[in-house]
Amino acid sequence: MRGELMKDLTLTEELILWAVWKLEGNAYGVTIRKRVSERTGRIFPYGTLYGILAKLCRKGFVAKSVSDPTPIRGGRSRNYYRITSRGREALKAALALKKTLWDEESELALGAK
Amino acid sequence: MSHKIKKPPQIAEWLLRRLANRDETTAIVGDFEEEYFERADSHGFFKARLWYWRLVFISLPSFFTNLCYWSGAMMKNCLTVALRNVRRHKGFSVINIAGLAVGMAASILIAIFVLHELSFDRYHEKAGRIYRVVAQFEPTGEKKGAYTVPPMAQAMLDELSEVEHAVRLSLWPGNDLVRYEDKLFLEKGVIFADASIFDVFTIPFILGDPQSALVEPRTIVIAKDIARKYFGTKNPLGKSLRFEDEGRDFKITGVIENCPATSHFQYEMIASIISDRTAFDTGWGGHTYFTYVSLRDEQARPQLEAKLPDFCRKHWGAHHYAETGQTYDEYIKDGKEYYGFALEPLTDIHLNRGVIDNLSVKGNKTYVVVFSLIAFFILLIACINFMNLSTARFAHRSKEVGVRKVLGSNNKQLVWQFLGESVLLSLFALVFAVLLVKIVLPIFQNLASRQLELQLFQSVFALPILIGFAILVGVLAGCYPAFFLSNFQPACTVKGVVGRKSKGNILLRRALVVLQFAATFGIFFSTFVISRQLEYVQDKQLGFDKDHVVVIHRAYALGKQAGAFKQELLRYTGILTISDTESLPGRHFNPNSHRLEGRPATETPTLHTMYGDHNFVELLNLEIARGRFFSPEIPTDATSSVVINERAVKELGLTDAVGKRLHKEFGGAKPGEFVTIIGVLKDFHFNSLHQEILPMIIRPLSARTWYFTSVRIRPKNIPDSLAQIEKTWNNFTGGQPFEYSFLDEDFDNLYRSEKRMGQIFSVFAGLAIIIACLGLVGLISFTAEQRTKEIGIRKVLGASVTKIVCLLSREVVVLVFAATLVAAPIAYFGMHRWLENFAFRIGISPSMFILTALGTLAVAFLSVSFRAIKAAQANPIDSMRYE
Repeated sequence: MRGELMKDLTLTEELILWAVWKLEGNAYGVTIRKRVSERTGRIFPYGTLYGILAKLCRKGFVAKSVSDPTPIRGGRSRNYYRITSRGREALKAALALKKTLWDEESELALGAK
Repeated sequence: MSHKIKKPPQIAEWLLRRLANRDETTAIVGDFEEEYFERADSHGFFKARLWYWRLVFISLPSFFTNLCYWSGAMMKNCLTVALRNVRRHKGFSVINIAGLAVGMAASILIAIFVLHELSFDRYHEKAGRIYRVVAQFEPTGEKKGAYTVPPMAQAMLDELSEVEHAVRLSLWPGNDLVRYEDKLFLEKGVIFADASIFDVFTIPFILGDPQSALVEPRTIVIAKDIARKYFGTKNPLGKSLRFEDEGRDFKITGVIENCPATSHFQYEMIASIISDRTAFDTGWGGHTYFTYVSLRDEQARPQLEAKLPDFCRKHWGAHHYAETGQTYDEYIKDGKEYYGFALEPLTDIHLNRGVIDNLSVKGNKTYVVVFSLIAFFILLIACINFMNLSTARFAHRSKEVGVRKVLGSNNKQLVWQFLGESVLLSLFALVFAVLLVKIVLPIFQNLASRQLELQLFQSVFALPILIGFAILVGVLAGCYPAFFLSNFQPACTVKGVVGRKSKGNILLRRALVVLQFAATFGIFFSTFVISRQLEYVQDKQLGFDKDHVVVIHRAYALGKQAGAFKQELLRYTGILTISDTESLPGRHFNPNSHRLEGRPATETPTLHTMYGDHNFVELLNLEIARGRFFSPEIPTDATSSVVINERAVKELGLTDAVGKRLHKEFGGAKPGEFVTIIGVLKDFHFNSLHQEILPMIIRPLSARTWYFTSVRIRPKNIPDSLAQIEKTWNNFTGGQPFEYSFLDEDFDNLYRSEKRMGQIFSVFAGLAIIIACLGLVGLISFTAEQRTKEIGIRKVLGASVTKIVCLLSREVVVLVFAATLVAAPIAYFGMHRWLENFAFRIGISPSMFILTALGTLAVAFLSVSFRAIKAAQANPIDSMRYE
């Protein structure tokens, strides 16, 4: 019930969901953060990242799986994230919204210079 | 370089682990570490570390929001559950909160009182370096007097470099008739002081200049209220007030703020001390003034004290040598006689009973300590109850604990939940307590005879301290149930088997009950002993008849009319005897040294002096042991006869005193004139029963020493006689204020502070008992509930209601008995110490202990029996079905 209401994605959620989709099978904390930071040019803190990942999980847009521990992580496991079909729907919806908003506009229209 | 594996910064990692969302911690820390090593490979370890720290830092805000969100949700749930519980168990909650609120209110009241007592004189800017110089009559410093000689202040200022300012105050309780134009009032708050009073003490001026205010003789500064009383809104500066009795005018040179309630000397007007000739006395014999000094710096006290013996030798020693021919060193040599000076810190004066100063507002250190203890005990009892009741009530919630645990709560969360709940309840209680204090404070003010206020908002500290105090109480009271409950095994709690089996828990609860009943017993016992002693004091045969004597104050206002006034009065049948005196039993008798004819100048025993006329013996129905009393027919009686009491005969070292002669001057300084002892009175208690009967001497009254006129009236129609006296007084004085009191009331006032203490004690005793009873009710409810099944089975098998009530109450009786055993010795010791204040006192008998114990037991039994009977009368069918 509440999930329906929260179908719309915030921009950050969209960003992270996009990264998870792009990374396909290799989406976990480090890679997601790198991909997002690359694209936005800002340092993206882990705190925010995991907060949003938890939210996306609850909404059913991504699914989490825990890997075997690796020595590079000091014997800790990774949380891998995979986009679900509902997640794809949400991304599609976001894309469609963007298109309707911006398709016929140009940068110039927002003001010269 | 990259071979060496350096771990990521430990502190940062620890921080991360503490703050990250619990489910994700491993993943997050793992991510950090992976990226850290990656960076270490490409940029080196130093940069990697920096990066690690930076990232932890910028992650903090979101971690926090996360944390708050979840604990907030949990808190909301806990709050709901807490309120639901309060509402569902109304009776329990009321007992619990009310008990704690009453306990808190009592301790807040006492705290206000104690803080008030401790705050005396601290408002002076120089409070830390002001001292009162007192005279010491014993090398150990046991006997001290605040009255000092007039020239001392100036001498200290001149000769002792540590002294910055010195001031003399004359604080003799006044009774001055003051007039301004048509306004005539009797003023009791007139004191006299040197101009330097404003250099030493902090007394803010509204009008006038402190530097010049009291420099001239016959100048006076008045308090704001007095200015309003005489002058309304007019400017009083430069006007004059007339003191009718002395016929002197005082010019007003300043208006000051009203005297704070926390000043040890109270004043409404301050007149310049040099208006009196005494201020210019250079002799070191007459002790009349209080002397205060302010030191140049706070550390100078030891230096100054070191100089005092020499200072005393120089001045008082010289005086003593001139009087007796004995040097100071000879005088103090054998340790029997002593005279010296000591410093008493200003802030100690109010509570210090070791210095005789006859101040009207005087505290008592013992009471402050005792009341603090009572507050502590009442609070302790209230907390114990709160704890007991909470434990009992929380036990019903074991299922909730079980469910919470099964759903993943850990111990820590549960502890916080229950602590939070108990803090919440105690905050409730605080609100009620503050309301209660507001209501009761006026009554308490009367009892304590102090201006007390609950200043919630005036002081920055009051509110935080109170809330902190409530939280502390909540935590103290809640921690036991919290830890006790959170340790339950979920499997057991859900099944409902809880609390019954834990032995240690029951033992602890019993110990708590014993403790609170010990405290109850102690307070009960003290109240009992105090009231018995006061009864004793009141009923004791004093050796004179204090009933039905009307004392008229300021009788000298009659002046020459006195004879006519008395003749007029004696015509009425209600009036029996009239006598003029300087003082009366229960009031101050001046101690003076006297010297028998033919004895050496150094042998000067102290006798307490009173002046009276020939009717004095008849007035008080005194008994004469030997000789006779003053007689109006014998002219020498008016000048050179004295009467002493039996104790004085012993003090003078005589067996038959009648006919012996004393030097007329005190101490016998001037030879030649003598007075003859014409009679000896049987000893009677002219002072309070705190003291032994002192040696006294009665000298013939003169116009100079006349202050009181006392009238013995018939016990019948007292109001009529009183009205008659007042009417006659008005006729003869032309409407001067008629001020009177009854001798028996005056005398009873000597025990005012004990009486007040007794009253306050009984109030708090009552509170303590109520709280303790509430606790018992809680305890017995708990026991009854736990043994429901047992009671059911017993009833089915034929046990009677009485038997079951006994079964339930037995425990309480044993506990109360144990409490008595614990408390009795402590109570005995404490009350024994208190009784030592009285020279005449009751003994503490075993019967008092038994009575108190029975009383305590009765109270305990009463509070228990209701619940026990209810439990015993329950239908076994219901109780057996109980699951």
